[in-house]
Amino acid sequence: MVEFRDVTKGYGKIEAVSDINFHIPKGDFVSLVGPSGAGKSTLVRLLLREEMPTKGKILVAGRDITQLKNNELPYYRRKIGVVWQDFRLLPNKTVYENVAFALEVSDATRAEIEQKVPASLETVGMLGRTDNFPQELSGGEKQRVAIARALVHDPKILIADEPTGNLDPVNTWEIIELLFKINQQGTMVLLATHDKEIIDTLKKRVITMRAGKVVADQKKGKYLL
Amino acid sequence: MSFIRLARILSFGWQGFRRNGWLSFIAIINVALTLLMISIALVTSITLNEQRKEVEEELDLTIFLKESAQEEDILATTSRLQERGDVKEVIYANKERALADYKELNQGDEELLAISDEIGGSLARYIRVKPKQAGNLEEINNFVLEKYAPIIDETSYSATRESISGFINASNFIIRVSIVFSGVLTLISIVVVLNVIRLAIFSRREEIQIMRVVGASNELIRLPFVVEGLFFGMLAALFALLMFWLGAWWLKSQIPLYFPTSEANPLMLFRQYFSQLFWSNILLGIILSTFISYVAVRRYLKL
Repeated sequence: MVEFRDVTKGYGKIEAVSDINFHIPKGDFVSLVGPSGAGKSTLVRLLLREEMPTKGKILVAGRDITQLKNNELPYYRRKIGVVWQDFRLLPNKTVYENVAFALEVSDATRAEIEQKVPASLETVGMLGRTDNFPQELSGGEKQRVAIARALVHDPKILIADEPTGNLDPVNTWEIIELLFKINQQGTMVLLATHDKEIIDTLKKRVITMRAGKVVADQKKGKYLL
Repeated sequence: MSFIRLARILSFGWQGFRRNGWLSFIAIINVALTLLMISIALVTSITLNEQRKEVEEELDLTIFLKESAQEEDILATTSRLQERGDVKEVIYANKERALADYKELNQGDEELLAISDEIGGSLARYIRVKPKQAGNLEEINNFVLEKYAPIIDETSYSATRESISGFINASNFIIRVSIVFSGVLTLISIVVVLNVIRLAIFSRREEIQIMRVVGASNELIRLPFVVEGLFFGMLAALFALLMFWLGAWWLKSQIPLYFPTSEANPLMLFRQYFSQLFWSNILLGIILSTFISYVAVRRYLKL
C-alpha cells in the first residue's frame, strides 16, 4: 500500500531523513516512533506530498507520488485521512462544516454530505456538538472532530501525526481506541508518536527512527529508545 | 466550473467575510479610504477642468475695425475666420449692433446710457472671435494682424495678453499639480490596501494550509478569498460614498463661515457627479480588492 524506497530529504546540507526503506501493506497498523527531531513528521509531510524528497521514491497504491503534478495533488490528498497533534481544524467553520469541508472539496452532493457527516461524527461521539466552533471544544473533542474529518471520505490510509501529543491520558486512550477501531474496519493506520506507553500497549508493528534513519522495524514491537 | 462548485465558492467566500468580521472591517476601511482619495481626485480634476472651460468660454478676441474698412472686406475677413479649425464662433458688429451691445452692456447706468446716442456714431465696428481653446487666441491674433492689417485699427489681445496667458499657465499648473498630488496619494493608499489585504490573508495562512492538505484544489482555496475581496470592494465603495457625502455636507456648512461671498456648494457637486462617483467607486473597489486578494493568496498555494 505504502512504500518508501531509498528516500532522503535534505534541507541545504542537513538531511532530515536519509535512506528510508519500508513497506506497509494494506490494512496494517504501524507506529512510527522516535524522539523529537528523528524525522517522523518529515516522513508524514513527504507522504502527504507537502514536501518533495531529495531522492528516492514513495509509492502509494503502486504509484510514485513524487511524480504527481501539482494539479493532481488535491485528488491524491482526498484519498488520505490525516490527524495532527494541533488538530488543524478550520477556525471559522463549525464542527459540522469542518467535517463537511473534506467532502465539499471533492464536489460531493448535498445528499451525500448530509448522510456521511453525521455518520462520521457519530463514530467519534461528536454528533451533539455539530454547531460549535473549534475554540468552543476541549483538546480531546477537537481531535475527535479531526478524526471525523479524516474518516468522512472513507480513506484507505489514515496518518496520525502525534495525535495524542496535546491530550490528557483519558483522552489519549480514547483516541488510540478510535484509531484501533478504524484500523479494524480495514483502513491502514500510520501512527507517528513518541509515547512509550501507547507503543508498548498496542503490540503492533513499530518502525523506530533516530537521527533521520530507520533503526528498527519490529512486527510486534516495543518502544526501544 | 460546475454549479455546485460555484455555489460552494460563493458560500465559503461569504462565510469567510462574515466570520472574520474584524479583518473584513479593517480591509473595508482601507479600501474605502483609497476610493475616497480617488473620488476626491476625480471630482477636483473635473471641477477644475469645468471651471477652466467656463472661464475660457468668456475669453475672446475683439478686432476693432478702421473707419475706412469696406463692408465687403470685413465680411470676407469674417468668413475666412469662420473657416479656421480653431475658431468656434465669429460675430461681426456693425455700427447699429455695436450701439445695441453698448446699451446692453451698460444697462442700469443712466449716465452712460444718456450719452449713447451722442457717441453712437463714433463707436467702432468690430469682429468678435471666440476660439475653441483659449490657447489659440495668440495664433488667431497673429493671423489677423498679418493678413488683414489694412482694415484693423487694433485688437483686444495686446491689452489682455498677459492676463490670458497668466490664466492659462496657472490653470495648467493647478491641474497638473492636482493630478500629480492625487496620483501620489492614490498610489500610497493602494500600497496600504495591498498590505492590509495581504496581512489579512497572511493571518489565515494556516487555514489555507489545512485546506490544501485536506485536498482542496487551488481554485477552491483561492476563489473564496476573491469573493471576500468582492464584498470588501462593494461595501468599501458604499462607505467611501458615505464619507464623501458627509465631507461635502460638512464643507457646505463651513464655507460660508470663512468665504461669505463664495457660491461653492460641495453637496451639489456630490449630487451632480453621484452617478460617476457611484460606478467608479464600485468598479474600482471590486477590481482593486479582488485583484489584490487573488495575488495575495497565490504565494500560499505554491508547493
